[in-house]
Amino acid sequence: MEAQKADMFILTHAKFFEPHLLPAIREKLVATDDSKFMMIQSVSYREPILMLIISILGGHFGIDRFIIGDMGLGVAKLLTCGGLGVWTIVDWFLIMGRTKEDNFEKLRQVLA
Amino acid sequence: MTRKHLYLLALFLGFAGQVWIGYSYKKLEQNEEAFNTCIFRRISGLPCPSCGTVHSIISILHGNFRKALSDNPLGYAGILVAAIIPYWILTDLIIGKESFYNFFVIVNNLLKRRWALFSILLLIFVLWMYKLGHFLSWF
Repeated sequence: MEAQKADMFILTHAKFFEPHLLPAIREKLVATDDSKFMMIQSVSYREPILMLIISILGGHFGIDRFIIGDMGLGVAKLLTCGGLGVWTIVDWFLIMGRTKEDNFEKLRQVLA
Repeated sequence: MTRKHLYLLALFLGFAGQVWIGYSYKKLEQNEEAFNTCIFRRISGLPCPSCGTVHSIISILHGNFRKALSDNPLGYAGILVAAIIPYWILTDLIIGKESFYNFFVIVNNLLKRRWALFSILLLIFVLWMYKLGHFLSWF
């Protein structure tokens, strides 16, 4: 892929990934075939801020974990009343990082 | 989710749960109500599906199994989880195995199938109705 296209992708999608992963993502994009560009762009990445809002509003029932795809933890969170309220608060701080991690996982699957 | 993150989260929650059960046990022995952490109950005044789990666990510890069932049947699952998972993870960390992580991945993949997730959600819904029935019968 052309370096310009990779830079454009990084510029428009930087908020979806952890900052320390961006150089590695750029390198991978440059090394990837041009035909995959459409696929990479069409992946629906989750917005970390939106997940934080969902976590604040529905974290008590594990809705944030269900949406991200951590079904096991979602059920556990639902059954423990949001970990007696403690897990709900812990997740307010963890959920953005977890969303970015999940977005990176999605991108890696497309690039593989 | 990486193994390290899962183990840290589960260890913290497991031990925090044990401390909370111990604290509530002491409070209830002194006939005081423990601090109510359920946000849903505080807002709506109605119990959520897992309200009463700690009371239920304490009833089990006292050998009062019938009261535990009427408090919340989830107490039986809760006491097993609180008693097993932290030590399972510690054993994993000491031996250097990944058995808990592998178990988590299997359960996670199973719950990604719609029928499994919906049957668990249905079970929780039935439990909630049971709890609400109990709660409303007090009036």
